[in-house]
Amino acid sequence: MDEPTDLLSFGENIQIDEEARIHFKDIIKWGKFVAITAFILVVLVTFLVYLATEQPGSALSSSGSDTLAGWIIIAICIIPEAILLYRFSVVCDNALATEDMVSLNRGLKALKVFFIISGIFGLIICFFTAISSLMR
Amino acid sequence: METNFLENSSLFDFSLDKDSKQTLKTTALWANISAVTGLITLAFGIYTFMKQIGDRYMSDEQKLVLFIILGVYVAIAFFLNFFILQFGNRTQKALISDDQPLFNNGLRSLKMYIRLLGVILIVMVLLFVIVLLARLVNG
Repeated sequence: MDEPTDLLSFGENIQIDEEARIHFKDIIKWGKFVAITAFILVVLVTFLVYLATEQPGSALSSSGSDTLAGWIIIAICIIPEAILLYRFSVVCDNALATEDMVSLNRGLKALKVFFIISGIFGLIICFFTAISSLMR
Repeated sequence: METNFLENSSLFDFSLDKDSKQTLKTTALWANISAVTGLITLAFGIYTFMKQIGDRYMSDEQKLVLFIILGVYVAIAFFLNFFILQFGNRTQKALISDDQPLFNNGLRSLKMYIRLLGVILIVMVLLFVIVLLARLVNG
């Protein structure tokens, strides 16, 4: 069976040339850094928020579990994004080194899911911000 | 530096296949959605902030400090979303029009986005460490 033409007709001559390779390497380097730092920061802040809510007399102890629950929800949103960015960076790094198209596709798919999740969170946050702005 | 790059780079460019082009097309679409919703959210945030500032009594110094903080926040959020939007638009157009320089420019925008995110995280970690040290010193 023939492939659908729209998949074959666009971007036939797009290549990973020298310039694209330089950009990719920079994206990979910073992507790894961002993913690891974001992960560590989220774990540390969660731990500190937990300590602050447990400590009697602290500013957060009165709101207690609500603050912790709120932060855990934020952490649950950030951690998968960090994992996807790390996966994209590691797999694409390997793909560029070995010129392996299968690995490059796996890396790009991780980036795709990263932006899909970002887009869905963006839509949800935009909806609630719009409602709260207009209700005031 | 240039010699190092030439030694490390491949002699052959490799073309994107059908699968990677489709993945990039979807990535660009969602990058655009993410950026547009981010910019709309930012606009609503500024509107709410201005409304609240107008409703409350504050000294000029307090207002100035709040406006500086808002300005920094808006600038960062704007450029983050701007770079994602640029990446999405350029990548989509490059795939449709078979434009290699535009594709490379799209990757440059993604690089700028990730770099800005990295710098923000460095600042956040530094602030985090300063606050932690201040708390330890003050007991």
